[in-house]
Amino acid sequence: MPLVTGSLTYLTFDVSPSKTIDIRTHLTALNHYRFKGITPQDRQMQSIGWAKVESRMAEDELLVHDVEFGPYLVLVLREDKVTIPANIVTHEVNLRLDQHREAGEYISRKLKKSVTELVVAELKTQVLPKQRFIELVWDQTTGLVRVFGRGPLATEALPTLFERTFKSKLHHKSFGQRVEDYGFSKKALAILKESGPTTLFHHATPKRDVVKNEGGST
Amino acid sequence: MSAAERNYLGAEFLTWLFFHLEEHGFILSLPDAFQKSEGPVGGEVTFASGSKALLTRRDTGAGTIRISHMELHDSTELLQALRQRALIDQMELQCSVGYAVYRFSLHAESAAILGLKVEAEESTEGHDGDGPTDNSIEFKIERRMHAVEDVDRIVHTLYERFLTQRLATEWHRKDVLQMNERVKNRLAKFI
Repeated sequence: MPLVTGSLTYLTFDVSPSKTIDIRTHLTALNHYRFKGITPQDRQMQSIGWAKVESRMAEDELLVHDVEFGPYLVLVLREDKVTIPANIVTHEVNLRLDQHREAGEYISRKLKKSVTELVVAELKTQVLPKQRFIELVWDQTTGLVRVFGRGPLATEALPTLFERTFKSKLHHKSFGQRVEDYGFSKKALAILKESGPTTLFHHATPKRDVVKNEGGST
Repeated sequence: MSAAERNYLGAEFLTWLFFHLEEHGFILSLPDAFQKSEGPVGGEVTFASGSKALLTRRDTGAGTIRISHMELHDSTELLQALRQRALIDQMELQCSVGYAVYRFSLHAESAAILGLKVEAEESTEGHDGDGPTDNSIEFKIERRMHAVEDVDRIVHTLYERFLTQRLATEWHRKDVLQMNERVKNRLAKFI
């Protein structure tokens, strides 16, 4: 649980249009998108949803005291993903299809598809899903959201789920984005457009020439 | 100009910060970063050079240069990389605010804070006579978020300082030349 133990790695996001919310009015939506585990009967191989910060493995209903901690709303994005190596599926499907062939059955596409589904469902019971968690803290005093993680889960999956749940968008606050936070005039900001990126060394000397020149001067 | 098009500012900011800290002897007065009742006296924050940095050459855009040195500010490799038109993409830093010591890396493109470690946590628990009796998750979250907010305010204030300089007409005429000169002089000393 990086939010409570260990070092912290995080990205900052702005929220629009609602900077802050009353979580009581969003509990239904929050529970609609809460994490639900994958069962062998499910066709899906991946599940994403909100979980509790204190008991991330629990899949029961989220209540106010599970997510509200002082001025912060704390949520955990949980992703479970089942991966079965394709080679194992193909091998097992071929074995079953051979049995059907021996029994004199015609191997239609439909049969192949149903056998594959059956094999995947059976193998799913033998595989434990890979789990990933990303914590989110929504500061209700500043309206800033901090996401404790990096990568596509933090920058794509989480903002999508957040938007569906709270009907508000997350905007990543990169340094380029932050320029507008300081109240600089449009005229001042136009300087950036005119000048573009800074080149620190316009006439950089290639490394070997530096050594040659310096050798010559001593 | 969209925000994405301005993302080069992150690397410029880190490169500027590298020189700015050195210029001010690693002690900066950042009163705007703290509320009057909470911050250190005079808003003084003491920084220390980290040991790791990542740089990318801006002209070719290819090849990441990884620097690992006891103290980045003593690294000739880093200065050479800057001279070869590279800018800092990620830099490790340490800063002290009152009794709290924060270690973290700043990432230029995403503005992410990476691997923030708070050294005051353990020490306050060990030395404070009363000690924090509250071991609840709410207490832990508030304490950790306090550190996050401290670091964010420091970075925010430093970035504002950088932008003020970056948007001034003196930037290309004075500041860039000064950085340029400093690299040249430092490299000349080392050889």
